Amino acid sequence: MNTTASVELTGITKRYRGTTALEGVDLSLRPGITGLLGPNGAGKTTLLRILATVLAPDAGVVRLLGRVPTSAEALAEIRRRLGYLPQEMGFPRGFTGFAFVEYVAVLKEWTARDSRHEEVRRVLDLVDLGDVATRRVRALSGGQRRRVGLAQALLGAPDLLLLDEPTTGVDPEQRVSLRQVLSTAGERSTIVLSTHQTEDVAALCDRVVVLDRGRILFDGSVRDLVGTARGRVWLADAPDPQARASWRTGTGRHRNVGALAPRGSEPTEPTLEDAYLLLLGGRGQTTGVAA
Amino acid sequence: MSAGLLERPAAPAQTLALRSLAALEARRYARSPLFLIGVSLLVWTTTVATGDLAKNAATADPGDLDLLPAFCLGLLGVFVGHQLTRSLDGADEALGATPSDRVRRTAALCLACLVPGVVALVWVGWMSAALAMWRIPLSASISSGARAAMLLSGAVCAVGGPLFGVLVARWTRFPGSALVAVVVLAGWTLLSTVSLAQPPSRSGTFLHLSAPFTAWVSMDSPRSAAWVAGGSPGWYLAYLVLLCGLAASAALFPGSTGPRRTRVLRVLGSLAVVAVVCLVLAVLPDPARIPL
Amino acid sequence: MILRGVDWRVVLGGAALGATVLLLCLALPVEGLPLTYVRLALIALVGATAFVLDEPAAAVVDAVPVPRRRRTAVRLIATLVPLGVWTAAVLGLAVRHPQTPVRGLLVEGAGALAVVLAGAAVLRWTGLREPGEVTATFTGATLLAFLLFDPPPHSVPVFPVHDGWATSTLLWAGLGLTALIVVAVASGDVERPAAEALRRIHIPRRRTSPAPNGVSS
Repeated sequence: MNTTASVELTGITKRYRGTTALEGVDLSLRPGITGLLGPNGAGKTTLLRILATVLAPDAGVVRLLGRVPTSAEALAEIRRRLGYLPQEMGFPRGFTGFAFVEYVAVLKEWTARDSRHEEVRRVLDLVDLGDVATRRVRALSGGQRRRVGLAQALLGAPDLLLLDEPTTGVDPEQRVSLRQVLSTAGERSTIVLSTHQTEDVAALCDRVVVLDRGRILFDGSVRDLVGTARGRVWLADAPDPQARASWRTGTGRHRNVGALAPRGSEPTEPTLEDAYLLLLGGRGQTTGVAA
Repeated sequence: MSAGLLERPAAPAQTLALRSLAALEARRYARSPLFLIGVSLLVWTTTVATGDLAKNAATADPGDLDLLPAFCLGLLGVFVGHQLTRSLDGADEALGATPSDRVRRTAALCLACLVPGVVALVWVGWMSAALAMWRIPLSASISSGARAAMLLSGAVCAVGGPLFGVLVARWTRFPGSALVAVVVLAGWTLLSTVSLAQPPSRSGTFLHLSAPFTAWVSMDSPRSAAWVAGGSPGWYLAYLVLLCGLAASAALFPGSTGPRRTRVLRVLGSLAVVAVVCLVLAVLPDPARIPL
Repeated sequence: MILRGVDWRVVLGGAALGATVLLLCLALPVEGLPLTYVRLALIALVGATAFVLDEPAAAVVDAVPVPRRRRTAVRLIATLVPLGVWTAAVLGLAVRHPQTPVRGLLVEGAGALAVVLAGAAVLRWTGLREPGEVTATFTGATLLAFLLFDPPPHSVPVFPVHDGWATSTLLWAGLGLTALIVVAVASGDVERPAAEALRRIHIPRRRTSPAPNGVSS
């Protein structure tokens, strides 16, 4: 595996009319899958947009795939090796799934018709949309449309793949299938996966970055983050008032996440979600930060 | 790479990439329902008009036939160009992360606007052949060169309309901007004909020929004889072509940065100057009206 | 509250464009009635009206207790803006040009607005939540074609100039009334087949006292 950094961000700052979306963010990513977690308004989407070169930072240095995207040539070169699935995506009326992905393929400079069609079929099969490729996108379900979006991001097996909420609306079986696709791609590409689904991050990512109010709270391995919650998650028959978060599970017991499991309580193995909750520390609504 | 992955193509020449994109946009244009309706309307109105001509062959001059492609393909084409441009707004963020930036995508859309132009040229060829075939007596007041320029201006309008639609879609965000553009365009054209109701003068000719489309043949009242307005159809045709260039350049302006933006501004400035010169040359000839 | 869901920016903007053109018609130093320009303004007003029924949040709003027909009826109040502009302009023209066919023009304007509303209502009924852009395009293009070309059959004057006002008024009145019926029908709530089926199922009522033959239910 190539260990050269694909992404190097230094001192990245972005503000929207007085609201700070990102503040002095430093990040270095190598090939592999990195999960990006954070509450609403933390700056995840802003960070992804900067990585996708569709948004320029107000300050700091961006280096992607060995190039700095300041000139038109460098931008084009980076974008040839980049795939991006934005959080929200509209589709033009009348386009089939195949036609839309093909359109993006043309934009990605796949000028030879035969190889372009072959590549479009390949990515649509990867996301299990081969059978409905000729159906209009507007006639597809929300999850299927999301997969069309993912297909266009996978065109050309990009070296840098940026996915903002890729599994929204996708059924569990398809999510597992997509995990297989992404884990294979992650062997050679740098993938940044922004999601609220902590189980996807736990299942796929070797590394996780937690953003809050435009700053990085945690940058390390998933195992290390989960480790911070060891001994701080316990089960009980009732909600524990000492817990930071407590909820009734399907078994009828209460899962409590807190500072420290009380003596005599029944500790349980923490999940990434527990660690994430503890990291954010029950801070309530974050204010003044754009997504 | 895992098995089954294709080799990513080497970065192609920019022209090749633009050509592929333009071909794709041209196919989208050709499949647009409003364009197809425009073509059907052109065929139908041409059939009716030439039928009338054939019936009244001894007495009628074809007059302003260029109105037909100008409306059917040009004015309706404003909607088509606008709709094609706006249709991808929802995916703008994903498309913005591709090597084909907004300027290239706009250039491809502008090239696709040649589709109605090709249809209009076919129409010009057909009309010329039909006029000769039916031996329609053409008034000697209009030279063959002037008549050719008049017919061709309809074909240029068939390109200019969609280009204007692309321009409006790139510069405006509000819903209904296509209809506003069409109303403004139609209003400007109609306003230019006000001078035809006034005594001939160079200022009247200037007002008449400054519009993006104009009628050359008119009459003082329904019962009086028709006449040809003053001015040069040839230079007016050149003016229209330059208006098309201005529309395309202005459409490319949003999204262009750095040296490219400077180039676009220079082209815009040059085209504007030459357009004004052509308009002046179109107005210079004798403004007197010539009876048909 | 429902009127807040109307995109007033577009409705007022289109009405303003139409009003501007109509003001120019009133100010133009022409001898005859500038009907072509007046009808061009009508096309702008028609465009503004096309967006009155746009409901981007229809997926949510269709599930509220207020039925779609009532919401549509309230939204139609917004049509008073372009209709008001048209009426004021026609009356102004009548003052400036005494030969103005006031009734004919008023019915023509109202009919055109009703037709575009019907188009939008039908598209919305097919599932298009924001039919304004499409309706404005097709209706505007059609009216422009009639305005510039006056296509046959000439016995049915859509936009008469000198003759044919009586026929035209009848035509627009008929189109307008039909259009309003279409708006009413196409504004019905979405089908609820489950509810319909439920109404047909006979659900036996639980008895609180023994049946007459002594057997409990």
